Amino acid sequence: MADGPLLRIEDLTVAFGAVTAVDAVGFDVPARGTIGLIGPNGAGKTTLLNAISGFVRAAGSIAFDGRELLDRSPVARARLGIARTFQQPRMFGDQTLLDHLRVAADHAPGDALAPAGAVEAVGLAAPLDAPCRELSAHEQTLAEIARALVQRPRLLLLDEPAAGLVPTEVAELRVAIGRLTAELELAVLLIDHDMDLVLQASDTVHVLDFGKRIFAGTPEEVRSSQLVIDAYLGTDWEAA
Amino acid sequence: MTGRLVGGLALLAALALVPQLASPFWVFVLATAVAYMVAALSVNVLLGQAGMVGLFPAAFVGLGAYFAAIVAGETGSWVLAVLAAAAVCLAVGAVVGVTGTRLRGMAFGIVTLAFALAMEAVAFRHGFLGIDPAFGATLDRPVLLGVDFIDDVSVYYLVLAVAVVTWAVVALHERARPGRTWRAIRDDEVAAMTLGARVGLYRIWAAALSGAVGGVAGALFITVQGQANVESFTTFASLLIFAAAMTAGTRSVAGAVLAGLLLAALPELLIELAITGKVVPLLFAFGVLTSLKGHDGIVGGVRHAASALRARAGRRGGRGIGGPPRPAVEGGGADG
Repeated sequence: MADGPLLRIEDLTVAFGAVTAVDAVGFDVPARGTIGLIGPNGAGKTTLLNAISGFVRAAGSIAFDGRELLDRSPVARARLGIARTFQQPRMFGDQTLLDHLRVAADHAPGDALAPAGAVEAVGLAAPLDAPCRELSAHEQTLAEIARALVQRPRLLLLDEPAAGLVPTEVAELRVAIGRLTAELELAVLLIDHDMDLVLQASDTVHVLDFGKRIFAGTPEEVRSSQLVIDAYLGTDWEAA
Repeated sequence: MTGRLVGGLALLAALALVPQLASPFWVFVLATAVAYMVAALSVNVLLGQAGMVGLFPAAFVGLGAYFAAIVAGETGSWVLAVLAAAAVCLAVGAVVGVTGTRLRGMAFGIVTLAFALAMEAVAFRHGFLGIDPAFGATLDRPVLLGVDFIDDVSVYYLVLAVAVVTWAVVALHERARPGRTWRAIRDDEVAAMTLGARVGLYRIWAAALSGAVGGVAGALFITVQGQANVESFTTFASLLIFAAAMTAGTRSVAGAVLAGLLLAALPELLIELAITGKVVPLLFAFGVLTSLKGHDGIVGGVRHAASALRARAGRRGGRGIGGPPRPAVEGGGADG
């Protein structure tokens, strides 16, 4: 197991009626570091994440640590060590930050990370007794990541964590993601529209369009790929 | 948290003082109210904690009352009767709860309503367990450890003691892993799933505990009344208990206490004060309004008003007990 990738996606296809949202996509996620996933709206990024975490039906194969995921429930996948966040942070009503972290610890597959440790790891300054509803969008994003980290996941799926954040907050987020992969020994699969974030935080970047993977490479290769620039990033991208 | 503890102890002290202050008639009424408080507590578990709409509390009260009567009659042990009522209703609650692993929101509510209807029409009205539907079941007041609970004052303390124990069992759940998981599922089921929470299991667990609490309420009810028949366990009674619990508030023990008083004591109070008319519907309308405002019933509304007053008085950072409005039912999450 240790030799292979943590996650191996092969020939993954997700269809909604006549629309093929993810079309025969395949790539590996190593056990450490960050894999970025970019593409325009509707490219199938979130659908791919939903297929990995088990919220949509998919054909093909997703193997996690050598075990096939597609016939497992979302709960079973979480218990294997796959955590995720959502585009809109899904918090538990007006429950406190500590409540969120505790319930994550309750259901952690192994030893849980201490709440204070999880909050520190993402650089969240909010008090633990703060109701999450009163946190800012940025703080909720970090709180949702902290909630996932409490479970000491081996793979963390981040679905547009920079959505709605201002540039300084995105910079903090990038630092936090770097710290996670370095200190907590986990793999991150990062989706975002913020190119700077994805290209700076990722070791490898995959580019999706219309459900197909059309490019993969290092951030530098993506930056210099005329194909990617033409198709996805637009002419203003280089200035970004 | 400390404020809540003080409030709870004050509430308990007030309830314990009742027989010293009230007339014999009112002691009897309030002993009945304590049984209804436990019935409302069963709604607290299912709706308030797990966010599940269970329109069947009186069915468990009836089931508990009947089983308590039978077991007490067979064994002569009142303690065993109460435990049997809880155990049977725990099992039945779990079975009904299995439907809650597939059904959400009002669909589950309709199943529970059907269960209440079936229990009324098929069981309670048709010689269920050999009990004459017209007359109902009887249960003699017990003698425990040499103490005869024949009079209303002593039976009041007996049912209050069992109610406190029942509440303690519920509170142990609410403050620990099951309670945290129920509230997480209530507020966002998808997020709870991504944390690996076995949603179906916890929904069954909530239904089972709620059923057991309802069963205890039934045992207490028939202990106070001495006799009970189907008229106390109808589908309408289920809806009334559910509505009273929602009106009072389903997320605090204070809400359950208030619901018990609304159900058992308020009608008697209105008669005593010679008030007739539309007071009860008005009260429920008030409860609906507080729910629509996003508060947890009357108790939630009062708490919100109190924390707003405190905030206005100049205390900043008021992340107090009232807190911001919350969705009334199903937590507004994926369960809606």
